[in-house]
Amino acid sequence: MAGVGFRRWAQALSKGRRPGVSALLAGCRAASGISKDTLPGPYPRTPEERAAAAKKYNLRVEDYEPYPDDGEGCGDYPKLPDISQQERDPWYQWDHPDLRRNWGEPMHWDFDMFIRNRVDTSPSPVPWSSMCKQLFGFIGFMLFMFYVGEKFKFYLPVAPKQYPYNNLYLEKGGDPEKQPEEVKNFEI
Amino acid sequence: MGSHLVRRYITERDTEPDPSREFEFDPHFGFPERKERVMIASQEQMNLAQLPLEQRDYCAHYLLKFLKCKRDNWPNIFACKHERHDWDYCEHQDYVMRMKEYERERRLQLRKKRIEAQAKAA
Amino acid sequence: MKLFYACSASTCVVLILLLLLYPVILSFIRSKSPKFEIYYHSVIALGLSFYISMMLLLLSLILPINMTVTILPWTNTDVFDMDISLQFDLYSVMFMPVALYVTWQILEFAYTYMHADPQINRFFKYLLIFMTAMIIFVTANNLLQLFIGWEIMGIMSFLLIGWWHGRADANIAALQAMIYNRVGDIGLIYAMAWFAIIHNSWDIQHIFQLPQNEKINLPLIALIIAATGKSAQFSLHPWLPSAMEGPTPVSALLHSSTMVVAGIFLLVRMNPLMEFNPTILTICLCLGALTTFFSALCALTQNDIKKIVAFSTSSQLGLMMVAIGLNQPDLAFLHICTHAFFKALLFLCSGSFIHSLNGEQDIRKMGGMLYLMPITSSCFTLSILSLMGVPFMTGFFSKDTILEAMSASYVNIWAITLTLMATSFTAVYSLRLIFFVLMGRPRTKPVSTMNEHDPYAIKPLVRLAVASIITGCLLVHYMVPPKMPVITMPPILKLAALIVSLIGFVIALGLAFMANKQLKPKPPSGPHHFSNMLGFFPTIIHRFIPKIILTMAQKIASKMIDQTWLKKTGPKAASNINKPLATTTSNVQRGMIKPYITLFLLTLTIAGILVYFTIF
Repeated sequence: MAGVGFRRWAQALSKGRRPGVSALLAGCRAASGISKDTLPGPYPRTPEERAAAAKKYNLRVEDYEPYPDDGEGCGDYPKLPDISQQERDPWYQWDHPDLRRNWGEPMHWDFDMFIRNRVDTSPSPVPWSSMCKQLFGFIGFMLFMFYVGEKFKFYLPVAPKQYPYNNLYLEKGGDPEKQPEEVKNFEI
Repeated sequence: MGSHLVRRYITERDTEPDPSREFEFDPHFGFPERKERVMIASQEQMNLAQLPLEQRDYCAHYLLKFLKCKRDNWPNIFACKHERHDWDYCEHQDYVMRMKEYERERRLQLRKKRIEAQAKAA
Repeated sequence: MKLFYACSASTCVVLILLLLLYPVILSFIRSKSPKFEIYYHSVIALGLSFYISMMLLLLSLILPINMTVTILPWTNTDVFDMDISLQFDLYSVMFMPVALYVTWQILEFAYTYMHADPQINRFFKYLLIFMTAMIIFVTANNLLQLFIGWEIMGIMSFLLIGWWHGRADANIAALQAMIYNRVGDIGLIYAMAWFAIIHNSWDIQHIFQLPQNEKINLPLIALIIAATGKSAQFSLHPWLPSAMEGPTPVSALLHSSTMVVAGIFLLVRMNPLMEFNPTILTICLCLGALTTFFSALCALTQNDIKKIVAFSTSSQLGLMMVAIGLNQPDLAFLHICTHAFFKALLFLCSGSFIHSLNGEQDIRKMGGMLYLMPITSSCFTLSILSLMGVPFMTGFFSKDTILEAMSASYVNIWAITLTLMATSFTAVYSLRLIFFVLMGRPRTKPVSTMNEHDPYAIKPLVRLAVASIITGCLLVHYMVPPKMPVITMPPILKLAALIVSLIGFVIALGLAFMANKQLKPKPPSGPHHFSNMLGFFPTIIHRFIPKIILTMAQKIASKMIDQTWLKKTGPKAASNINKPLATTTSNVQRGMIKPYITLFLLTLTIAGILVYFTIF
């Protein structure tokens, strides 16, 4: 019975009314890496090769700049600027507004790092170094002042509070076997 | 208000007492006879009332009365103003005593320093 | 009598839980329910639960207030017992009606606010599940029960912040809340593991009775981290202002009055452990003071009405942390309760304004609301007065007491300075809110038609406004006096909180009148940027840490280890070793006579040698 059930379930998964699953099955990649036809081609050396590579990646030749050929296997993959999707124009009609991306646009090599809820590179009104200086300066100053405040305490001019029964020896968890140090308090 | 802090940290750093440390003078010093403070509520009573440690002071019997009154006047939460006032007044007296103790310690410290200075000068 | 109380109290809690879960279960049973069915059920459920919890509250007045009730054993092994047990002390008994009342009002308000939402049934279901978790959390007498409530609250917070998940900003905010809360959860899990290993118990009462020594600092710091994450204390705070991406009722319920105080509540619960531990108390005090100051500083220059209110929540949470650091958990708890009322009201009023202005949140584009929505504006003003600690409003009773207790104890001088400064900042941004939102002329687009005819939108506000006038007084009279009531102090200290608030108010008023004059515009200064960009904290942390982690992941984990070294030592190495062997072997077996004869002769020679050596 279980076998039948499983077969039905598999059938339903593979051809049922769920386009998402079949698309997912067809689109999943082997665990060993991307397939040969999706790998980048060899590093372009002649201007003609560059033009062909640029066309392959839907780029203009002027914009096309491959990664340096240092044996890391990037091949002819274009080196795009490190700009996050968050930085792009929010008011433009993107084909995929959530990712702020057009169809067929080349992807950054580290695209998953620059999607909208990860690293943001949009410019800030204050330069990075002065932001760091101000924040860490603030935190450092606060820590220093807390240290100073620990040295110089604020208090009111009163003596410590007096408690009966040998300063609550038993209540504070003293040993009932031992005789506590006797504490006497007087009126003033 | 902040004069004791000024004395403690700037002007009289060696004589101004620090309440986090023990006071050093004998409680009987300078008194012919000093009355000991009386604790009225017993340890058992306070245990039964589940008082927190901070409240087991010399005013605890007023607090016990207050709590009992609150319980008896249920559900009128505004009752027991008198009992509350008795307790508050006792706590106030206690606080005044603490202020006096502090001042005594401070003056004794000053006196000690003065005597030492005189001894050195002589 | 004790038995009677125990039975009735646990019955009350179980009844409340069942009542709250009834609409949720109903929606599981019925596949299709009419649009507002869950709303009607949940309002009835909340109202009934509120009255039941009020009964419990009244009952607890006449009886010893600390009581644990074990309902049934959960798992019992030889070394580790765990029971489902409930705790009825001042904190749980008092917090339940407060939370239920606030939730009830917010739910009624949500009816109008979320009216057009297609998933409104699910929205109310989430709120009810959240409320159930909150009740489980406050009544827990067992770290595991506590943890269950804690986690469900975290999940509901994530789901509700990301309610409009079609917007990337809401998703980002929900993720932030989730990640920051996970940091706090690590703290709680660490503390639980520590108690399980060292003390062999998760029962809270049992943990309190164990001998305390220096080693306990470690789990206590873990608990503080947990509270820092949940209650948005400094260093784990940026999620709270981001959480304002969620619907306003959610901000009012989760991110101001109930869920975010769970961290403080945890520390209040665990206070007996840290009572005699000055190190831990100092950490709490400094953390709280820094939070309350920093958040108030950030609130000064924000322009989004919900952001301002969010930062003021964060600031008040810092004040509660300060009370914990002063070893006054009762005061912290009192502030939790009073804060719930007026902050929920503040959020609902802002929500009402936003709703009437077609979703406009910028206070510079509001103005003149006093004439357009008089009732809402009055409620808004009342809640702000309460927030500022104007005498005899709700906020006064807790806020002022905390500041008094602070000035009367032996305390870090910088912490008290920061707290007082934060108090005056509170007055400044409160006045700024009133000035921009209520006063002046409308700066809105002229299309909106505002009215206050809908009773569902007004009644909750009015009820909460009444609550934020009177509850402070009621709660103070209800509560047994806190640990050490501070009665005697010089007048200037007694009035300190009021004086600093007044100073802040006067300065803000001066600034506001300056805004009416035409001054030469100047580019924003450095401190303005620091305050307006939230101390640069989110910018730096949210850019730097993910960038480092993701670059490392890309370069080291993926490129260097996976794609280079693992590939080289695994599949490639295997093929490289096998390849020469296979080549040699197949070279020999190519069907040519010479190699075969050579092999034959070689074998023969070896065999001959072997035979020679074995015989002779």
